[in-house]
Amino acid sequence: MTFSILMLSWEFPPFKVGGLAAHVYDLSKMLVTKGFEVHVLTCSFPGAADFEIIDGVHVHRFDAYEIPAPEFLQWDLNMNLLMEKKAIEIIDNYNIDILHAHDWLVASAAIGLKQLYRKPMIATIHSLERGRRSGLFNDGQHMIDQIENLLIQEAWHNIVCSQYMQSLCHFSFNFPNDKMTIIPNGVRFNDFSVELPEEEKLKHHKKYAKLDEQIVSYIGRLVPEKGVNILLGAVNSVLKKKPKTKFVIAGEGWHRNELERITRELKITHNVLFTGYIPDEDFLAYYNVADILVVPSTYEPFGIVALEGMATKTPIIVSDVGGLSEIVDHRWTGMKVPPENSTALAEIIIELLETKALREKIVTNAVEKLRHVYDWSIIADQTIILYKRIFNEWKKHTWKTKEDFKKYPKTKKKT
Amino acid sequence: MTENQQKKGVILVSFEYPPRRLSNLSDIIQKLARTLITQGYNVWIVTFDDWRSGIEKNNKMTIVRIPYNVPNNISFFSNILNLKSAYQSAIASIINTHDINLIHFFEWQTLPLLIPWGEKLVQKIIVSISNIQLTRDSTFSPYNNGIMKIEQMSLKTADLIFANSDNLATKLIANYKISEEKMIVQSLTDRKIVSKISDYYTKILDDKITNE
Repeated sequence: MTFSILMLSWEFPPFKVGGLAAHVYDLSKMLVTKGFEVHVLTCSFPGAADFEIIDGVHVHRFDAYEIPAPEFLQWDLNMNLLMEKKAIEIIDNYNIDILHAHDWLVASAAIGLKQLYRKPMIATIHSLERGRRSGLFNDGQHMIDQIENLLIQEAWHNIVCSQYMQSLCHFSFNFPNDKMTIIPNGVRFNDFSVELPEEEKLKHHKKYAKLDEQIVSYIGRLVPEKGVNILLGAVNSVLKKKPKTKFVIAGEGWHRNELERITRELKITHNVLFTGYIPDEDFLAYYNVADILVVPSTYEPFGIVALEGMATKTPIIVSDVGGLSEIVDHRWTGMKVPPENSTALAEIIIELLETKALREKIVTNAVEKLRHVYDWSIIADQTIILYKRIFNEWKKHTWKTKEDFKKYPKTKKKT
Repeated sequence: MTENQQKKGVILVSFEYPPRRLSNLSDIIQKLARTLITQGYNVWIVTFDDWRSGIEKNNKMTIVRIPYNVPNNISFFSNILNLKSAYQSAIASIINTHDINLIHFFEWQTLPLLIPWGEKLVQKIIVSISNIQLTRDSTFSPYNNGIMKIEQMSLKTADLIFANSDNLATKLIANYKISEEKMIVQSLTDRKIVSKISDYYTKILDDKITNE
């Protein structure tokens, strides 16, 4: 039987806000190569087609701004009405077997569709508001938390990306572990493992540092939970031992001004470069010229940037938190440091900059782990096993529309 | 009461129902429900209450008080939209297990679900409305404009609209571009409101309503 999946995701390439777009794209594409029919419903953007097939994935877009809203949270709730309306058109035109929702941003539409069609709805919980904000401090954050809880409860089954996320959902919402399956995120190894020629590397190296400087990189959003301030706190200690080191911070975010202020206060502006967004064409080169990639997050449900570092054969140092703890085996596939500890981070950076053999060992082992655990083909296979299990559970269940009940009558037990 | 009518099912969807009273609408709906039962309809009430949720069988009708799943909100607007999936869950449970011919929505707070579902539901859709954002606060703002757009899009999916006054009906036709053919002026203070509404039910279910 060929399964037909409808993915609900507010972002999808080329419209990208966070890592969700890339996740949905990579998973959908891989499911298509394995014989699934995948439809993705996502928000439109200026110049985008209402419908197109990208790498075999049916991409449907709708005008997400038709209903005015005073701010983002209200916009999201309004957007869900429009998404659900468009999804009904898709479900009625294609024979959709499973609804797959990605995060709270599409919860209202997913729940409405689940109720109307009585189809199994699977939710991938990429992160939780209480983790992103290190707590819940205002009505908006409480509201998102309650919507996340509702989505988790309403889903037939949930996918979480790490043990950490599973226990966060379990303890946050008293949610049973057996209604969640851990399927990690993946990385497109073949795309990321391209090594640039030496000449090209030098050209890019010069963009960020002097040729005799080693580069310690960060890439990601500049928001407090990413812990860039911890990395900045380690700079002076590293420079005392390794003065020819450049710290390159790539990405944007509302915390950037504060981070630049810290840089000035610590008098390290000559050794720290804020690049802003890295254009797509420079993305691989950015990893390629890095001697070390640091992921100093204080909260990380998964940590896909660590996988990207591993795939580009860049030695990584990560905080021992969340999903990062599970990706990295200390001194084997990367280095772990206690979170929010600049002194420990500085020591590890120095050790890694000074020990080529350790860097090489880490890179070799990391690539090996990627191939066996974080390959999208493996992840798609795990997702398919789950889809099939859930669909079979649903087929045997009485919770169906009258039409589906005729199509899949309840199997009588043999006596 | 005919043999045919006895088999018909009606869902009344309201933001208020006794003991929760925000206006006289609450009692009108209760009276309407009781009248419909005496006329042989199967009646479900789907409603919201800040203090209770659950399913209650009462005088041959079923009252479903939806759960308050998202009690923390950034505004009343978000509160209303966050109730949508609970209304949907209740309505879907009823229409998937019983023969329902008509769903009557009261006031804008119950309407958002009609944007996705309005065209899809096979039942006749009636909406009663006594005021709209345009009459409550017509100031140009994303907040007000958002509510107005939701009212407009959802009202367009209705088969029949009871407007509380001539003035409101005129505004709905002029500003929301609602078809005049769907519009019936029915004041909430009309003492015969219940019997008039139930008469319309009979007509719409027998497909006898044209432009009155």
